[in-house]
Amino acid sequence: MRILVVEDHAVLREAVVSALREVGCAVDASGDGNEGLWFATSFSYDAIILDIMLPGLDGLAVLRRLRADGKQVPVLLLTARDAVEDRVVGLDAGADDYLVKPCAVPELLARVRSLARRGSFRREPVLRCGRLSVDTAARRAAVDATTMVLTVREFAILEVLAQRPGEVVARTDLWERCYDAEAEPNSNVIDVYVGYVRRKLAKAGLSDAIRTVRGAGYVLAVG
Amino acid sequence: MPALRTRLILGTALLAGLVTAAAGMAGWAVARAALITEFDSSLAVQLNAVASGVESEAHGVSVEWQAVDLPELTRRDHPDLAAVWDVDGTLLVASPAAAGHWRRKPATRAAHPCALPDGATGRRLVRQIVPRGGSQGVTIAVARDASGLEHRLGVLAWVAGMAAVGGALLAAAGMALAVPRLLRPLAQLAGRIEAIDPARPTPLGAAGLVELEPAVRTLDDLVKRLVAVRERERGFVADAAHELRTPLAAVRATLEAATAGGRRDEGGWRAVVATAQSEVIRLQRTVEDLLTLARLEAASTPGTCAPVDFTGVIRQRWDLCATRAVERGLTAEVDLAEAEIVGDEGRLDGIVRNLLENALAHGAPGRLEVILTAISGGWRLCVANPCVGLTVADATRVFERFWRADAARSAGHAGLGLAIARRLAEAVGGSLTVEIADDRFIATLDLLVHRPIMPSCPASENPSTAS
Repeated sequence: MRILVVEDHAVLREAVVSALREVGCAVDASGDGNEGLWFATSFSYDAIILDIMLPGLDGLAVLRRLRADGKQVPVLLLTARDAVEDRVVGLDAGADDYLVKPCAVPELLARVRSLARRGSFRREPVLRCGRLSVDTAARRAAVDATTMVLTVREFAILEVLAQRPGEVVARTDLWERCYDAEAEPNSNVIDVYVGYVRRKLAKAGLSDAIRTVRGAGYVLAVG
Repeated sequence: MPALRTRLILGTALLAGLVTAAAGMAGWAVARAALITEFDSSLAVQLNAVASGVESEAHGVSVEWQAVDLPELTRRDHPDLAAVWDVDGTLLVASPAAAGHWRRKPATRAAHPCALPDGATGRRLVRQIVPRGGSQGVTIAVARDASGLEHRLGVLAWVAGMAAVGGALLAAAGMALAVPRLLRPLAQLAGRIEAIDPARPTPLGAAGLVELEPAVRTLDDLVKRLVAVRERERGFVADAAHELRTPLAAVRATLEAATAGGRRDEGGWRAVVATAQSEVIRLQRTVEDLLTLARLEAASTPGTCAPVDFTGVIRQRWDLCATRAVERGLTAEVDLAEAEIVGDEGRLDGIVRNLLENALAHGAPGRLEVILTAISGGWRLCVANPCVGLTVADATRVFERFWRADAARSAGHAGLGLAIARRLAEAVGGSLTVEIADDRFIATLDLLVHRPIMPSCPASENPSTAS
C-alpha cells in the first residue's frame, strides 16, 4: 500500500509515517499544503491522510482541488477540529473519513486499510486466491493452513498481486504500490522480491503460483 | 411598570378634556358678555324711558310716570325697579317695587349686580341726568330681575362642561381602539426578535415603522457584533483545540508507534522519550499561555502596585535571551534609559518577555533593537527586528490569538505571545502597537505616567519622567 501523509506538525508526521512504514506501507510525507497537493496529483496513492490546518494551502482546499481534478483517491482528514460543523464541512468537501486528534495509532491504521480497500479492486479484508489467503489487516499470508513467514516488502508485493488475481500486474505498478517517492526506481528489485515470494509460496506447498509474463509483468494464478 | 397603552389613553383623554373645557369656557365667556351687554342695553333703554318723564320746572323737577309706556314697572310677576332722586338726595319718585326698598340716593354706577326685594339677583344701572330746561341734575336708578340671565348662563356652563367630559371620553375611547393598531408593528418586531435563533442569529431587516428603525438598526448591529464575537470565539476554540490536540496526538502516536514497533536499542528509546518530552513541554507552554490569556481576559487579579525598576526588568530578560539571539543570527542593539515606574512588576516583565521571545522566535537574522526612551509624559519601549514575508496588513493580525505567519507555524510557538503582551500592556494601563515597514517588525510599548500605570495606582504616585 502506498500512503501520503500531509501534516505540518513534524513530530506527529514522523510518528504516523513510522507507524505506517512499520506495517509495510510505502509512505510519502509533506508538511505543507501545496507540496502535499503536488504529491497527491503526481503519484497514485491507496489513501491520503490529510491535516486541515496547514501552511501554504489548508487541507480542505487541497481536498477540494483533488476532487475538482477528478482524483478518486480515498482521503482521511486527521484534524484537531471536532465540531460537528467541521466534520460535515470536511466530509462534504470530499473526504472519505474523518478522525479527530489525538487518535489511537491502531485505529488510524485500520481506517487507512479500510479506505485503501474502498479504492482497490477487491473489497474483502482477506483476499483469497484458491488455496492462498492474504489477510490484509493481520498482514499474514497462508497456503491452506500453512502460514508463510514474509518480510514487509514481500507481503506488500503479494498483496498487490492478490488484489488482481489472474491479471497481469506491471513491474511499474508493483513499484508504485510498494515504494515511496524517495526510493530509487529499480525494477530489478521487484524481480528479486518476486523471486523470494515464489520460493516461500513453493515452500508452503504452492509452486508456480506467480507466473512471469515476459515484457509485461507478473500474474498470480487463480486456483 | 406603566404601560404605553394606559399612558396614551390617559394622556389623550386629559388633553382632549382640557382643550374642550378651554373652548367651552371661552365660548361661555363670550356668550355671557353678549347676554350681559344685551341685558344692560335694555336697562339703559328703560332708564332713558324713565328719564324722558323727568322734566325741569320753575320750582324744581317734576316726574311724569307713564305707566302705559313703561309696563315693566308695574308688571306683576317680575316688575322692574325704578327711582328718581334730586340733587339733595330726596327721593322724588319710585316704582311700586322700588318703593320702600330704595331710600337713599345711590352713587352713579354702570350696570352692576344687585339684590332685589324678593331676594332674587338683578342688575342695576344708576345714572345722573340733567332734565331738559333745568340746571340741576337728578339721579335715576333702574334695576331688573336677572335670574333668567343667570339661568341661561348656568345652562351654557353645563353644556360646556359636558362637552369637555364627552370630548375626553371620546378621545380615550378612540385611543383605546387605535393603540393596539399603533402598537402592532412593535408586537410584530417583538415576535421577530423572539424568533431569532440564538445559534444562528439573522438580521431583523425591515422595521415596519420609521420610528422603530433606529432601534432595529441598533439591534441588527448588536446581532452582527455578537455573531462576529461568536465566530471569533469559535475560531479561538478550534485553534486552541488544534494547538492542544496536535502535540498530544504527536506524543500518543510517537509512544504507540514506539511500543507497537519492533525492537529498539537504548538510543532509539531515548530518541522516542526526547521527542515525547519536547512535545509535552510545548504542550505545557501552550496551556500556560492559554491560562495566562484567560486570566487576563477575566481580569480577576488586580495586580500589584509598587515602584519597579523597569530598566532592570528589561536588562534581566535580555540577559536570559542574549545567547539565543546570537544563535539566531541577531545582532543586538540594546539602549535603555533609566526608568522607574509604579506598577505590577510581573506584568511588565511578562510584556518584555513576550516581546523578546517573539523577536527571537520569528525574527529573521539581522539587527535587533531593544530601546527604552523617555517620551513626553512617559516611557517608550521599542523592540524591532527584521522580518520576512509579513505585510503591512499583518500588523493588526499579529495580536490575534493563535495567529502565526505560515512560515512560523512549526516554530514551536502557539501564536499567543503578542496577544498576551497586548493584554498585559492594557492591564498596566499602557498600549502596545506593531508596525511592519521595510521588512522590519517594530513593536512599541507606550507607558504614560500621567495616567496611573495600574488602574488601582493613583497617578500622583508615579515619579516624573525625568531620568
